[in-house]
Amino acid sequence: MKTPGSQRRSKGFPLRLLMAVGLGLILLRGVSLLGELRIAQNIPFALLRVSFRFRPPLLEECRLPTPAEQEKLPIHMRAKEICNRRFTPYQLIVSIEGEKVLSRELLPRGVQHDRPLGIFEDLSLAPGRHTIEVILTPLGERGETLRFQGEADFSPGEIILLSLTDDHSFYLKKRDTKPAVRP
Amino acid sequence: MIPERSLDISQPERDNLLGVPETIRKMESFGKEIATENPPSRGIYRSVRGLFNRIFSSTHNPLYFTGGMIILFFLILLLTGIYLFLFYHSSSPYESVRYTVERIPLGRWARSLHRLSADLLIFFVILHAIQMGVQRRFFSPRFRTWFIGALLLGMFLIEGWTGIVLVWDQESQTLAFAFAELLDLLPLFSDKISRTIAGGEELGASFFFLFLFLHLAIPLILLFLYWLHTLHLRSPALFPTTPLAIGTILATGVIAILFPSPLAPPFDPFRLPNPLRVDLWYDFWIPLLPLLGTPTVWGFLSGIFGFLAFFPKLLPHPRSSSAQVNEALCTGCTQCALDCPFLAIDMVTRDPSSSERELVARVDPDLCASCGICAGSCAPMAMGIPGKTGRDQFRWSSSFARSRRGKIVLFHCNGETPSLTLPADWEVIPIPCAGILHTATVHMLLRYGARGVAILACPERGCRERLGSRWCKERLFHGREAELHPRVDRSKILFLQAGPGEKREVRMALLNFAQSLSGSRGGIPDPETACERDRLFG
Repeated sequence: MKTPGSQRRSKGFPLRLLMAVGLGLILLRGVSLLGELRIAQNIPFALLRVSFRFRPPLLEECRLPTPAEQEKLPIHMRAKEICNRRFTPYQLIVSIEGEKVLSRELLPRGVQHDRPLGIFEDLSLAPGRHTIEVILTPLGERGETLRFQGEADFSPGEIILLSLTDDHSFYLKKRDTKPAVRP
Repeated sequence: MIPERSLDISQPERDNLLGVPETIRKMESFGKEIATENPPSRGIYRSVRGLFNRIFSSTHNPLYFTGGMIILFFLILLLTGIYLFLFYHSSSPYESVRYTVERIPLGRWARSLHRLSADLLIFFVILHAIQMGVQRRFFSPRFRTWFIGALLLGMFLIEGWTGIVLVWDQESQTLAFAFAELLDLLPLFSDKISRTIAGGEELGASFFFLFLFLHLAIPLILLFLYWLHTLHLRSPALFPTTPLAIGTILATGVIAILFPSPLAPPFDPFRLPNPLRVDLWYDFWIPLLPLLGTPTVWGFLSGIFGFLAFFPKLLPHPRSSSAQVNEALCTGCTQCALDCPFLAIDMVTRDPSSSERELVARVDPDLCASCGICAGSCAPMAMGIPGKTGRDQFRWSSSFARSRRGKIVLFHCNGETPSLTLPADWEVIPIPCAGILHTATVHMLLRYGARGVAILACPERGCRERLGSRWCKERLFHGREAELHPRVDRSKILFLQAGPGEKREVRMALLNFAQSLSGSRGGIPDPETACERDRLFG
């Protein structure tokens, strides 16, 4: 394609090419710099990350289906018992140096409330040594109360995990502690 | 010495309108209609394009090839991505990337090129959207193309996010955790996604395999969306010009060598990432999270996308009437259907009951963008926008040329072309697009007394109506239907394609053309014209 620009190319071509290359490289570098942005942060705090799933005792209420209910269902869907299963809700309290910093009612998850309880919560703490106390209390008749008390050193920007083992024991976990710190 | 007068050719002087028949008044008002759509953003973008035109020339200006540049970077991503995929292990993502970067030949370069191309792709998607927006190339029926373009942008971002997560470094940590927080707001999952990612448990290979699968599968969706995006476009630009493509590939390769993309430290669930590493082209919203909170950022992201996708619907739409066909005159040659930039014209059987399959053009008003290019493509002058058909132009041209005997007529495309100061013996006719001009109009003007005819069209890929500039050139010099009559002396015709920033060159070419017509100093005809004249008459 011919344009007036191309007619004059022979005169200023090397200079124009140099400018095009220069502008192109500057643009590309500019784009790449925006893709590698680093934002230095002053993080004067540490985090206690409360994160666990908990499968408490299952509450099950069963009854026999009525003949009318059975009639409505196809044969392969007729059960001997109709059961309503759900987990017991719990109350979680986390205290630091005896002061309550988190109080949360943990409800069973899922639409039918038949999924285990869970929490994921970050608590900001000042760097230093802290005493952490956790109480997990059932809000129903069944279930046991779980308690934990421990100490940990928090450095700025550090995340210490408060979690629960499969046999329902709380523990604190730091990056350099293997296995988990037990009370 | 010819006295000069200042002519702002985007706004013709009032006396140009006096004594001119109704048709030209309509043409000029049609031209003005587009000229008045001149928001400040257009002025800024026009200046930027002018700067780039001065450096790259309008032929190789990357701002005219934003769509082609996106395809180019997509291909670079595809090639480098295949290479990186060969060494990626979903069971040990970070270690495999580090191994690729440190041990594999060209691994560091391929990764840097991959990252840089991904950033440049988003950069050019944004430029593409700005160009379409500034030129108002998004009103119905082009709104569908715009909307799918917005979906494409969304999919490109998702593709980028999956790619960033695959590395599983601290940048991935920031992005994955921020995204998990956003997802946790939706009542979709029984357990928190944040807990899965940062809850201290090891993520299995299946997690990374899922992201790898997404990262490989999304390009297929992108290809499908691209097909939809260009479904109603004739000859979409697939690539930039060869010099621009080669230059871009070389420059990107050099930058990737000189400034390799750094690999951040590995994901650490026990430490807050510091410094925060973000790729602003993809993670522009992450720095907002601590300031605004997760729900606000969700709203912000949805708002931006919704605003972008439906932006054209928020503006008043200056809709013109769609093209119409005079079926009595239509010969069924199919040229208008071939020329229509938006595939709005179908050739249908004139009389379905007849055994002879005689065709006639039919315009789909839902697809017609009212560009009027079909007026220039129809040899029997059977179609176009009412009042601006070839027949209307033909009627106007003979009387106009008689009243302006001895003048040089400049048809000035009212889109990208620069404004100029011209001598008084020039008659400037603004037209909305060079493609609308019927070759018979040029013929008539020369036959009835015009000294010469110049057409100043937009750069080929800067044409608001996509193909007007290209078709006009081909009709005048390359025998495309409706071609200029072979008897017409091509040395009296000048065809120029120029954008902002090329004012001096255009003025020189026009004055040279005028001198060549007068024969006073044996001016230099346009090389294209001379070349074509030699081919046709030599």
